[in-house]
Amino acid sequence: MGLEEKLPSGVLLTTVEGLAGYFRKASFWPATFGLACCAIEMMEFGAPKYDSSRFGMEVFRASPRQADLMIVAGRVSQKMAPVLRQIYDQMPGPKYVLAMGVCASSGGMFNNYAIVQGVDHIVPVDMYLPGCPPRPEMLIDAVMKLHTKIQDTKLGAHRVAEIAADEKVALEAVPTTAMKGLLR
Amino acid sequence: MTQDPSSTAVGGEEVVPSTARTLEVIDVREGMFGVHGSGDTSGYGGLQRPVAMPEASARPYGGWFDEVADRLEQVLGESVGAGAVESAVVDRGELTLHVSRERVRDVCQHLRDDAGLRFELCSGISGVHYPHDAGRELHAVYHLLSMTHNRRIRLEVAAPESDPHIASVVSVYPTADWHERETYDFFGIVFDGHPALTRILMPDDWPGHPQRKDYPLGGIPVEYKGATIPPPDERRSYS
Amino acid sequence: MATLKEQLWDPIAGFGVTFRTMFKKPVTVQYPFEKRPTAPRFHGRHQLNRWPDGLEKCIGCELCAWACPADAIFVEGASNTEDERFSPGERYGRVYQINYLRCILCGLCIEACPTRALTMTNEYELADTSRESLIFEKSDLLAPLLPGMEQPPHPLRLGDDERDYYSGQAAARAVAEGSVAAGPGGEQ
Repeated sequence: MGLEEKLPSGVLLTTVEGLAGYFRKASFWPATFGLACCAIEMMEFGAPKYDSSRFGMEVFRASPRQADLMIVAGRVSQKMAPVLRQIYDQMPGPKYVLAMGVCASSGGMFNNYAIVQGVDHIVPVDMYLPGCPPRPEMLIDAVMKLHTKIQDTKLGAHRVAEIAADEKVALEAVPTTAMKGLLR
Repeated sequence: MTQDPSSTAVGGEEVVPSTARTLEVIDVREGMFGVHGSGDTSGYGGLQRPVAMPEASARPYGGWFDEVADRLEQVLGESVGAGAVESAVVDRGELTLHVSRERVRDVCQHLRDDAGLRFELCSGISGVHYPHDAGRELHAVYHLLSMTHNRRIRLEVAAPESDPHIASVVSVYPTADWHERETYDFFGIVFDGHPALTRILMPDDWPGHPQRKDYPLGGIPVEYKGATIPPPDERRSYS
Repeated sequence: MATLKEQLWDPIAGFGVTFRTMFKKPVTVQYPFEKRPTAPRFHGRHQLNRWPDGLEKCIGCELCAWACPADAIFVEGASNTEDERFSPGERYGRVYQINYLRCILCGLCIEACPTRALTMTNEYELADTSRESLIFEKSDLLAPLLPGMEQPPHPLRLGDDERDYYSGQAAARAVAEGSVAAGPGGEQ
């Protein structure tokens, strides 16, 4: 924490945060992590018809050190899991993970010993995108939702507080199986 | 050179292949989806399906099969002695030789080097698990291709589950290296003499061999708000 | 030795493609700004349909759950009573959840449904930030109440028993009374 602590808190910092968020979301470089059929739709997302360069995302970085977003496209096998984690660890912060397709989100129809049942067992996931595979519009929609999230990301001390608050919410969250809802 | 042994004349002489084929029943499966008794609502409760393997064929096999079998018998008799090839099965126009697991390397050596056989390419080694075939539960299947003669044969080697050892053929066919590792990985067949028999596809520390029939499917309960659905192999069992 | 054509013409010939493309219409779809309709039978989010009087079509038979290859549907049926009626007939789906993190949108549940209660819409913008928000409950899946429909539970409005509903007389009566437009009963 440097400059933003010396600035008067409140008005100016929120302006800086908004500006930083705008810059971050406008140049949002994904790391390729195409693992299965979803990767084909991810390629189409980068190809002329859906043209991800409209959002400053045309550069799918082969190097995780230049990437802000990891699009996990496809099923993650148990053997791929440590590789995926290493790619994630090599990405510089702030970093985001988009679980594309049902296999990456929860294991999908591959409910068996070989597939990781959701990539959120390995890395924190910011956006879940269902579909098998999701069409490029769905991926664009997920990226747009991620953009709003990035725009609202805070900086410095605010960010630390935000992380602590998110952590607290996550720890206190009711597990889905304990949600009674309509059940008796 | 023709590939269909049943239709043709070899050396000007009409060959009549053996039509007497019997099947060896190794298991009888009942019902479907693994449900038995009153719990079976599928309507398949009365279904009985035998699991049968074609039995050893009698001479003549037809076509070039006899030529290969004679030649192999001859060269094996000169070197390793009789008994290496346990039986020969001709089924659906394909020749399968059942080979004893200690001598499969010698058999492959001759199959590759003899001028009359020349099976230069081993295009794959796969495993099969027959849990009801007592004493011969694990099979390794070798597919050989002779590019010189344009012929394909299959070798089948059986090993009991209690002692899953089969001689490695890597010294004869270097391409068998990864195939044997894969077969070891998925079926637990230990290929003696392999230079580095380690897992190839599953993680190094994986317990068990997943392609065996008794390996559990695994999986986790599917989550809902306030409920779960058990994983597939616990919810409904497949036979 | 390269010919004159190879030396002079070939290096610039490729720019012809670029030049020609300049006069072509761009193929890019401007998705988030203008939404193109999907194919009419696109497999999108599910919908639980209603009869023209607002009663639910789902009878809680769980056939969709059994057809599902990913076990993504959870159904718990319950019996209708005379005071509390949600669907014509004996049973209704009391709990209906679809886990969109497992659902592969294959449509086998649609084929399995005997009453056309479950159909698929063309809506596909499903991404969300948490697992629990992607487990859709019955309230998220039920079709909205159209004019003339009434929130169940309520007694049968368009017939004396469920036969009138399933034989199509209920829909015919609804059209005759003018409460709904003619068309496939209750499906939007």
